[in-house]
Amino acid sequence: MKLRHASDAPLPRTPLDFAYPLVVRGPGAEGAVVLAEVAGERALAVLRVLRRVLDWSRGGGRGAPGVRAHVLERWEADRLHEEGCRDPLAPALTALAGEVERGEEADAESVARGCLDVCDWALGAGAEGTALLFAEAAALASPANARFAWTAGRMLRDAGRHREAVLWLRRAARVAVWSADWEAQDLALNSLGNLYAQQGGFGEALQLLVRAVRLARRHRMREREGAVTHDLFAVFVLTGEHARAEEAALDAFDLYGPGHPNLPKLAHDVVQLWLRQGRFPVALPVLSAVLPHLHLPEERLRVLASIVRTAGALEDRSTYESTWIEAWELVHLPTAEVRATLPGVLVDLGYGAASVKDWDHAAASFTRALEIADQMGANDDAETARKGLESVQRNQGVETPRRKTSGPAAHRLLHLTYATVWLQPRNGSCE
Amino acid sequence: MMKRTTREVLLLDSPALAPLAALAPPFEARVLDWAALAQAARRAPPSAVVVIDPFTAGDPFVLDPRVRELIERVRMVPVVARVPFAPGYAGAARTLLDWGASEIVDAELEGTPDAIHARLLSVHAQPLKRVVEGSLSRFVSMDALTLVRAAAEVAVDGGTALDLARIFDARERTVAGWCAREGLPPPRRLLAWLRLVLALALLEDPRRSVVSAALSAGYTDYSFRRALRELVGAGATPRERSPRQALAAFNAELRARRERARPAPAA
Repeated sequence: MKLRHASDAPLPRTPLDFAYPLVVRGPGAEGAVVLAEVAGERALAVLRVLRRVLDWSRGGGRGAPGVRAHVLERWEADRLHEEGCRDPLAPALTALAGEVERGEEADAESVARGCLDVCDWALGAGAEGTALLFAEAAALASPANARFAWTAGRMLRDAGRHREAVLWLRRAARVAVWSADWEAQDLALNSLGNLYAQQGGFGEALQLLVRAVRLARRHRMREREGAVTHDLFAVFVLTGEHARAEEAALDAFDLYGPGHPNLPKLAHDVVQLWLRQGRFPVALPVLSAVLPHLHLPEERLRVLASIVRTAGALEDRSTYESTWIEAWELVHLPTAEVRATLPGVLVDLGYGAASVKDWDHAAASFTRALEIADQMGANDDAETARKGLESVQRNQGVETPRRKTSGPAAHRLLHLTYATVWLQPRNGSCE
Repeated sequence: MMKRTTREVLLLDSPALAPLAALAPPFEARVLDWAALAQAARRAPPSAVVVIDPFTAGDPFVLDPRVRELIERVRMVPVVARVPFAPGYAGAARTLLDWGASEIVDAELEGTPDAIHARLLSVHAQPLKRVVEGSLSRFVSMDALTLVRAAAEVAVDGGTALDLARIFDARERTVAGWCAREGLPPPRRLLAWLRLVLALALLEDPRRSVVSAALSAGYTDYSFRRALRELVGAGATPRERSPRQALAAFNAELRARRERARPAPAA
């Protein structure tokens, strides 16, 4: 990969971008959330290793390797003795602590990967804040690798911590340019664009996604071009530019190619467009066909919510009622991935319930959507939920009026979507 | 005003903390017993740090009841507690942070002057950052927040816009450009806001006089009243004002700057 700068420095000279959290810190004890989330005595062990990694990233450990090695060695032995090999945390922590204590000889990539191992453990243990701290620690340990910064940014975005997510995603994009990692730059621009779209900043979102599409095209990253075009399509749907959305969806189908794992997801997103166009009769069969091929709770939840909304609009009470039960159960799953989908999902559930005049469910969905969308900074969903709730409180239906907003590509898109769903149903993910 | 070049560390006279008496600059340790420490902490400037061994002399697992009282009384001076990161101490560590301790240090790995140095630097201005961020608009970007945090560190030391630029290893003009881009006032005005919030936060302790709060925040009595009038408005004495009111005025200024920066709608 060809660099576009002559400097030998590992990072670009942009001090404000890299000041937090190693130079300028936030309020609160470093890593305090670990003590709040990790149960029992293990919390102090996790906190100790996190702090060693951050000190090492600051350069504190690099100058004096081995000074405290005996303490860590004894501690590692104690941990292994206490926990044995049953607990996956013990080997992850000891490996990471051991690497950091090598001081200047420690390998930044190994430290970062060790942090991601602990991050994985924390996610499994439901300690989301701890997982985020270790994701950030990975990015700080290996600051010249844009992919770690991108991972941290994406995780923060999914956790609804948008302000910090913007910082890490921008840092990822900047470092990727510096290190000529075009794929990482594209991923960062893509994620940043999606984040702005989630917040209702469609102008910025479009600008970033268009940059990401051009970058992918310039460097012949067809897979990435498809994924970004897919996201661009979703933004056109949200901005009401339905003709452009249809063109983008066709491009995405073409770029993905037959058998691509993201096709069911794209088909589902095309259905979202149809829901906004009031084309409920064509949407329901696609949703029903996609559902059996999705197994992750967050993906099933999105489709179930769309079915509730569609069934409501079609006044298909039995489909509405049976789907509502499964969807409402999934809404209460306490995973970060499910939580990230909730603002949009709850709005769909509210629409569906209001269409069949199930006012209690509609009010509950819109109220919860409003609360979560406000917490996550999902401004567009918050606004929709607020309007929905007002209508429900007046016992008025809220379904989108049917209108002719489709463009010349609509017919081809319908055929392509149907063909995708019935001929190549698979699971996948984009971005 | 004079910039503080040293940071006082009020160290509890305890065998566990004895090795920390010889701290490297900018820190200067004063070893005090509990009674003297509590008194000195109340009058200490916000650039000071209190370091304690929070456990009772008789039982190394039981927190001393005086710790909570100390933390509650000296809200604008960070309190750092030495805790063994060993089995049996996780509960105490959680309790200390719940009470409002600014930081806990690892007794085994951070028990020497060299090792604790970075931890002491990290708590600098932490109480002021907490007060400010608790009321700061959610529309403030992360870069703006980094600048505000850095400005809090400078304000606590009585520093200038030049000191703010030094934190980032940048020029004053560069930092002014960042402030403008992020919708913040220019560095000097940003520091003036933080100094004012600091003085009002210090004044929340009813035992502190207006003059003492003003001096600790780098003002004379007169210049404090003038800054209050200019930034928050006339019509009330310093005692009648709260940091929350100052932060509301600060947020209003930030909002006005954001509105001005927004492009005008096309005709």
